[in-house]
Amino acid sequence: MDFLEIPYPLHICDLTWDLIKRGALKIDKEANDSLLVTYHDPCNIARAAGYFQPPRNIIRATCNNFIEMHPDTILEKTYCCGGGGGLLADEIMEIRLAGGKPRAEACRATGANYLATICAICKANLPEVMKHHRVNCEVGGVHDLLARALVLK
Amino acid sequence: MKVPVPIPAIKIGSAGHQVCHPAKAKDMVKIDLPKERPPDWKEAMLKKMAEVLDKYRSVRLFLDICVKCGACADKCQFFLGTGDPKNMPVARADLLRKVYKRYFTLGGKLWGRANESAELNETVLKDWYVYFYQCSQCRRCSVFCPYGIDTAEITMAAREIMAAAGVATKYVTEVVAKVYDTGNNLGIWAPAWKDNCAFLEEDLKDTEGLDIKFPVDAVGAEVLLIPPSADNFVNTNTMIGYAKMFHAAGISWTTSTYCNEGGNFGLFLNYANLKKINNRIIEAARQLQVKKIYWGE
Amino acid sequence: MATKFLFIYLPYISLGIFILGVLYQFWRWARTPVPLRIVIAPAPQTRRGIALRLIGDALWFPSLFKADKLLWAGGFLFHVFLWLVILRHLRYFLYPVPGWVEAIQTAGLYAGYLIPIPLAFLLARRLIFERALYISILGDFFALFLLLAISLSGILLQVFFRTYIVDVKALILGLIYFQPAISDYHWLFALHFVLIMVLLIYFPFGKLMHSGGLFFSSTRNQRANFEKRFVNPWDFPVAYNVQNLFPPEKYRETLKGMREGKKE
Ligand code: SF4
Ligand code: SF4
Repeated sequence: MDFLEIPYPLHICDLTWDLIKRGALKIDKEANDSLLVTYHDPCNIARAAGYFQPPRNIIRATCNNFIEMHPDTILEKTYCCGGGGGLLADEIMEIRLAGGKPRAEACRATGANYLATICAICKANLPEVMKHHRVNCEVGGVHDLLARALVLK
Repeated sequence: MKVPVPIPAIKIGSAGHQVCHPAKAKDMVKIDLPKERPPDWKEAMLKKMAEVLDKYRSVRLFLDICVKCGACADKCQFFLGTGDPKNMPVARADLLRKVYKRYFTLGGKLWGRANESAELNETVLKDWYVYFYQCSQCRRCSVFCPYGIDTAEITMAAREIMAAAGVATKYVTEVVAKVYDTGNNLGIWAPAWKDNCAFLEEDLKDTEGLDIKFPVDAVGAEVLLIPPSADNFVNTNTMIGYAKMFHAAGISWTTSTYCNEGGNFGLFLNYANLKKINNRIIEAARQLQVKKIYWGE
Repeated sequence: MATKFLFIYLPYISLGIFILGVLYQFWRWARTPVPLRIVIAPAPQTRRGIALRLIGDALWFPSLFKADKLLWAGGFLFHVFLWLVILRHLRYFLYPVPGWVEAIQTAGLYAGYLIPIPLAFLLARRLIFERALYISILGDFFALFLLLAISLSGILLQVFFRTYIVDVKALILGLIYFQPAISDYHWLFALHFVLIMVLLIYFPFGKLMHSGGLFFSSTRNQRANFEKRFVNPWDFPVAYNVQNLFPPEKYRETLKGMREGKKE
């Protein structure tokens, strides 16, 4: 792997946050003013990699309204969305919905209308969970927020 | 501990009916696993178990030292959601621990039942299949265990043991097989991937009047982006986010049709598939002569 | 004969089993490789940080504190009392008795009187709380009852049936210096003594090994130094078989074809 400048993969949020810090991106935070954003730590991006801050930093840099969920449900104590670990199969939908319940309740308690996360499986399972538990909250990525706020012209 | 969900009362067997479909033979063959459960599955599993115990200190240690304090019991979202006691991390690990005690410890060999050990039989295997595929390997339990006992390690071990005797779920094996066919978990073939990228380009031009590229297989780019394949298909807003960011920063980037997925379902199955799937990231980077690799979100 | 067995052979046997058993378990864990980095964040990045974290884990159980305050209180008190009691008993093992052992005698004595309280709590919670009851196995109750019996017999000895301390000390020093000397002991002392031998024998084979196991736990003792490549000692090359339709060579050809055909 010596052909690489950095011999291990980095997360795209590292790059984005670095660019934002250096002022290389022009951002119009008001584009996201209709959203109250909260952030869901995906299990192993949080627990295995300790990757807590970069996505939060990006959200803070692109949105005016950011709210954390209950401290027992974020950072290393985060809940699984319910669909990880190869459970994203339709036949066990009941388990996926049940497993997502703690996250749905934590999200409801904040009143947020946008749940940002950086895991594709969470993005697949959480919308179902939110619908089932009647939490009125859109689920999406962190870079979605950036895409809305980035000024390109 | 105050959690947003109340801790449910135990409801024995309340999640027992949530069973994954078994794997299809054609997928199992593709990923180097036995087509079906052989008649001597018990021996095959015990052999694999001995191997796993000798290869992973974590598994052996975690099976040995749990004190059944129950600190982890109410920390698993699947227990909180279902109330099925076998979804308590410690009880989940016990499914494997009992068999381990029976065949691999002195106490189990001598005292059998009194040592809370269990023969490996159909009933036990059924429990394994149900409850080890109701653990998302999220490792939340491990944060709270005084010894850091990681039930995800146990789950992985159990799935590896089952896989060695041809027992796996349709979903996981299908996904791994798709990765070998198409490079990603969703099974998007290279032409479709390119089409999607072209579509996103057009879309951006039409709606926002932006001229932003979504390069595919561009040799010599600076960054190889390995997004989850869903970003190209479902969460397209995220993909647009990456592209805009790269565009604004003036960094040349590319995705690869050989490896357009960072999620590795081999982890949910066994080590060999885990490694093979990860290797293709390095291969893709090598072929494309990139300088850096970035995960998508 | 029975006395001789109980007070001379049994101590040597049980101590032998204890030491060999613990070493055996350590050896079993130590020889099993650690193939992957499985840290649980947030984890320290330096060896020093890890050492401090492990010491902290061993002394005041921070993870348990996060998980369950009541259980933490019970477990923590029990372990503190246990250490005080063990250290207090050093006076029977050392001659002359060091000053610090003298100094903790009173604390050790009270710890001894109080230790049944957290033990009883730990026992009660296993019977009362449904989750704890569900996961408890025979070994859990055995260990708790054994410790309760040891502590209660010790208290009775201390309060009602004071054995002749000089005899006890002569017994233990005799054992230590391989010149066993036995005399007549109260039956309660014999019980106390034998129960401790049982504990020593049981220790290496049950849950009590959590004490040493903690230090082998990968999730607690690994560093979060992700920049450094983690090498798996039993790594093996993976082979692409015929059914795996997409080996790297094919990708190379595709790319080459694209470049030559200049289609895209
Ligand atoms: S917290 Fe750890 S020691 Fe306690 S029951 Fe759970 S796995 Fe076992
Ligand atoms: S790793 Fe498995 S058992 Fe542990 S909390 Fe997560 S889903 Fe539950």
